[in-house]
Amino acid sequence: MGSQVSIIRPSYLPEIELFRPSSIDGVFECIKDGARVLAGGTDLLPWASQHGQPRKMVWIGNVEPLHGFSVDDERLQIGACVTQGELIRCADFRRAAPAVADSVQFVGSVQLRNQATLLGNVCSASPAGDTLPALLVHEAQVEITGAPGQERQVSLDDFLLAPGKTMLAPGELASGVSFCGLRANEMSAYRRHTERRALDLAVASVAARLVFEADGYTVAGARVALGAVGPTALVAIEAAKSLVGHPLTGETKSICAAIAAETCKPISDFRASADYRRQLVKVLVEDVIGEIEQRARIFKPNGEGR
Amino acid sequence: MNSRPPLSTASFRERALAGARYAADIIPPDTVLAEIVRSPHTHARVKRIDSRATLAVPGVLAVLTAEDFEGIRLGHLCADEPILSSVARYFGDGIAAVAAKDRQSLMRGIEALRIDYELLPHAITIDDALASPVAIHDFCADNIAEKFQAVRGDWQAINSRVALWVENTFETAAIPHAYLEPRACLVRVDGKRLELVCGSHAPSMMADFYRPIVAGWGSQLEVVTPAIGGSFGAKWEHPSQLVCLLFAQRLQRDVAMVLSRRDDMIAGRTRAAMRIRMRIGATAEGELVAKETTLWCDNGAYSLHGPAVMKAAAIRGDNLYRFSAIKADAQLVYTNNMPSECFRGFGITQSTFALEQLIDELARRLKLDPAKLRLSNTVREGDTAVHGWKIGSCGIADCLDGISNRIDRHRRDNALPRSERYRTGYGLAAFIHCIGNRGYDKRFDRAFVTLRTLPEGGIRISSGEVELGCGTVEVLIKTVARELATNRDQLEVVLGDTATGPHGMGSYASRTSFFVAMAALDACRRFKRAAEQMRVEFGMTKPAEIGELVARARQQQRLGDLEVTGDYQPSGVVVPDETGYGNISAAYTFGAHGCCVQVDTYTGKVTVTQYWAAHDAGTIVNLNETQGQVIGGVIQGLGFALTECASVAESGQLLNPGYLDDRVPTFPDAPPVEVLFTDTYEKKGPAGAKTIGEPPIIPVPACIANAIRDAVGVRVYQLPMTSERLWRAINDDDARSGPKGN
Amino acid sequence: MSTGKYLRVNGTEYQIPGQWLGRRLLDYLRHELRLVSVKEGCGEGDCGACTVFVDAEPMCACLLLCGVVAGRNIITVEGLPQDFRQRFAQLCEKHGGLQCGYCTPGFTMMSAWLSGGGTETGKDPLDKLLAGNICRCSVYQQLKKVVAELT
Ligand SMILES: Cc1cc2nc3c(=O)[nH]c(=O)nc-3n(C[C@H](O)[C@H](O)[C@H](O)COP(=O)(O)OP(=O)(O)OC[C@H]3O[C@@H](n4cnc5c(N)ncnc54)[C@H](O)[C@@H]3O)c2cc1C
Ligand code: FES
Ligand code: FES
Repeated sequence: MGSQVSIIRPSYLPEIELFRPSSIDGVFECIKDGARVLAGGTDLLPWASQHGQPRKMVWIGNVEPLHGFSVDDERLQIGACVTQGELIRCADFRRAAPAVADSVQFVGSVQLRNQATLLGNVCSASPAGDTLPALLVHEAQVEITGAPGQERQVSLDDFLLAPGKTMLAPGELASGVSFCGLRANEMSAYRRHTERRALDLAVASVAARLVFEADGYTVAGARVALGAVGPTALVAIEAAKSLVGHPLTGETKSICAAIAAETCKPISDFRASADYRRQLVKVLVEDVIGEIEQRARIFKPNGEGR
Repeated sequence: MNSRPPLSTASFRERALAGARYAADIIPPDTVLAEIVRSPHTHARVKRIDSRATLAVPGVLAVLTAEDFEGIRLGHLCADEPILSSVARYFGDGIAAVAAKDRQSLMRGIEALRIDYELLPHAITIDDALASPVAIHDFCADNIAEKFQAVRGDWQAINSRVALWVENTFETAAIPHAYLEPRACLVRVDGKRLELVCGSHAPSMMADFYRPIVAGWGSQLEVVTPAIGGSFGAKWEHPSQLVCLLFAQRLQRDVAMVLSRRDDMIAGRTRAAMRIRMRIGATAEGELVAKETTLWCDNGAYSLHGPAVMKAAAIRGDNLYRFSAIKADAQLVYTNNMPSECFRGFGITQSTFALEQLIDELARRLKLDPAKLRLSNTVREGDTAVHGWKIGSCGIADCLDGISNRIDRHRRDNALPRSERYRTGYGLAAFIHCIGNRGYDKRFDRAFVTLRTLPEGGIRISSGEVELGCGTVEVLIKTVARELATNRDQLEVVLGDTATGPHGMGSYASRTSFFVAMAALDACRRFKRAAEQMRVEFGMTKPAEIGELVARARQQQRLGDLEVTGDYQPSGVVVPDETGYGNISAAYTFGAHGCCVQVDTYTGKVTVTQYWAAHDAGTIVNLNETQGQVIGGVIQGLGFALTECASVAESGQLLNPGYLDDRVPTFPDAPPVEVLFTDTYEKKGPAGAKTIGEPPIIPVPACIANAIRDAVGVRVYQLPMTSERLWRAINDDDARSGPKGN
Repeated sequence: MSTGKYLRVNGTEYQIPGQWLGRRLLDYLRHELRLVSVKEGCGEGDCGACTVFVDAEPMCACLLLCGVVAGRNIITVEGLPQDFRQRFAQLCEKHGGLQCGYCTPGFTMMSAWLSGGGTETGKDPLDKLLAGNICRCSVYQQLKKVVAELT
């Protein structure tokens, strides 16, 4: 028996040929030339150390327009170079997208969040990527820029194809992500399970965004999304549907949780088995809805639950 | 010879100012860099190594393979680890090594290396290895590296006394030491003299081991110890050092190797995983009578300290209780896993996970308070314990009292609501440990401290023991400053420098501060004697100021007469017999831990909300450092108990090298730890002190396991007790019935 | 925003040699400038031993390329005010804030950041802000006291 792989490559960052264009066009030229997009580098550089490639990178931090970031009542627009640290520090952002704010605060550490971009987390397309379920319930759209001038928007759900795989074609750049902010009578939240309390990847995670009727109890609309229980973050349509038209009770919550657990597609790996992940989904769905209820107390006539 | 002044060991303050220099910090910019090239196969014979392309890479200077180390093996107890191997015996085994003038050429050279293997079937579990038709080493057909047996007492007689047996099988995981400073070493060459600069917890022993090898190459060796970024039992002989030594010797250039975190974990060592079947028998009144242990220890591919770790695990913890009869039967099994190595607690950490849970279970069955059951069975001062340990000062009763008081008070003050989902429970566990081990080295268990008066003023204190952050430097400075009534800034400490300092056994078995302080006391006595003699000779009138005397001695070029070496060897200790019987240590330390956990029964997640650690470490000389060791040990124990594990695929590949997936505790994982000390005085110790070092980690997994049992009525018999495992146990009706009894 | 070939480290401007643009800031600081307080514990962003300030915010020098931080202000422990370093060391002595000391430079940087009012949302627990710094000797509890007394 012979064998192909000959050695374990010592983990060390290879010599990188780094391009730092200051315009989008410049970025495209480099991409065409085979360079990989480098944003915060918190995913790409560890990967490159372990695998010895890619060795050509184009850093997009010099492209001024990609640093844009706006929060208005209807929609948030986040440019490709906006770091997670910048976002968390912004109170308007935290108010407009609580689930996304929750999720960002789980990523790595203070230091990493100061480097890592939101879009980098999206483009990494890790099944356990924390911001993905949160962005899904906020109906995120990824802005893809192809060749100069060619732009399109795709829903995040369509954008995520498989672990590490997105709809980005060779030569394309994700220039930004936009998503809905909370409207009146809406609330969102994100929770995850990890073995450690910090600096750990989600074993399972859940985000939800609920719209309440004017009474503050009955669910008028719902979105639920799950992380680390499928090849990509998933929207749990049926689970969300089950809540609509009902007040939140122990029973409606547990029905929703059961549907979510049934419809997810977890795998078993060294972190956890599939059936344990299902159980976590069940628990986390109820927890997230519970969290939303807590946060949504302000909607109720005298600020209390029933 | 070398004119470099010896490297003084960083004090606490220097470390606090980020001024300490670790091995990688000392490497000069133009040093030749080396790496070991590792096998991606778990078990494979190397058929061919083609290094032509590597050697053709500009900047690559040399390649080494197994042939260059023919006949050389590492291992104090069983020399079985090749430096570079012609058979890969674990995923990450070193096959070749490359040296180059800089990092870039080095990486290109490594990538150009071609190695052909013949794959062999592998065995990564103890069962597979025992059943395997494939021998991992040619000299060991059954993969059993060593066996150990011990029988004490009259097993005929005990049957009538035992009213109840409790029994179970426990498994502990292999975990990397995960010290924060990855392995690094630098070899400086000066003609035939090679100087190895590397953080090791036993530099003299390492030099003893390497010198004959280096002599075979026609060179001499000295070892220098810079600051050490954690060892926990891992940092001593390692193939990386001999690879750098040989490169340096051949190239006649300084050579360094710094492992990346990932490679350090792949090529590192782990705590030995064990499977322990244990039963204990007691009378109906709760008197412990007998204990029987069958233990399998996963040695990994090479032995290192495996044989000693296995033996310690098999019997040492028994000495805490007055058992009348003991049976132990242990096997050390070669597998295709990373070599195991000693790790804080030396095997006792593993077996205490079993013993202290069984004691807890026994108390439950007999409806006795677990602290009281222990209290009525522990050894006392004056006892000779079941394996021959002569118990001196013993504060275990105070420790147990202290912990049960804390638990009672906490339970009273925090009447926690018991929801369906969250359950609270309390646990307790105890331990005994030694201070040094006469059995470790057949020659002696001994420490030296040398005092040398320097021409430029001040005194240099040297010792072959090292500073691992437990306060060795501080102990030496305090002792010498007090005894010689000198100012501490007159004192310089040089540890672990084999060229200028005395021999030392190294920091293991919780011996360092005790041994070093005793040897320093002896050195000060000798210094005073030498000074007194000189004073009389100089005709100086009493009482002479030391400063004055030194000035005269310097004038008369007599400083050498003031150089003294103090020595400490514990009295009354023996090398234990082949069954492990004998008093191995001058004194013994004790302790009991308690904790409160909250279990989320829906997810199995355990949160330790409060932890108490009571220790008998003799009279506490340095409160801050002693307390720090306890808290640090508890948090490490928490990782061992709940999260850490070297996850290995069926292929043998390590799946989680790196801190992200290895899950060592982080800041928010650390629960509040309250530390209690007994006011014991150990008459054989320095100023009544004993030691701390390893003990704080020993009872932690059992303590948490007992609290989990209290909270949810089940146990996870396997480490780490992850959320998923506990969730399964909670939902498994069989587990609820508890350990098997008769 | 960063362009050019200059790095400002502890107040001094350095020209980055061309071949260093695509290499790690960590190596530049340690090997070229001999600022060896900056430690490598993992090289993958997990441990925080390599923490430096980039324009006053803590980041991991092991995950930054020199070319990415060109033109920005880098501060290492060596560049912190002396009185802060002394005070931090004193408090470590008082509370036992270190053992082997390998994590200490990273914690020094984080403590400096915190004592300068560093925060994310304005109400973050210390646990969250220090989660990116691993101490295997596990002196977390003692460090908490050090930081509490500093801030
Ligand atoms: C220690 C550590 C802990 C972590 N913990 C977590 C965690 O808890 N949760 C979590 O979700 N993640 C975690 N991560 C992963 C990582 O931090 C995030 O995924 C991060 O958001 C990536 O952003 P970045 O800007 O650093 O991306 P980069 O590393 O720069 O890029 C990531 C990938 O996306 C591509 N890319 C980036 N931007 C674009 C773009 N605009 N257009 C096209 N392609 C692009 C890159 O080519 C690359 O393939 C952790 C990482 C580390 C090192
Ligand atoms: S070395 Fe940078 S985070 Fe560990
Ligand atoms: S003091 Fe050793 S890692 Fe923190």
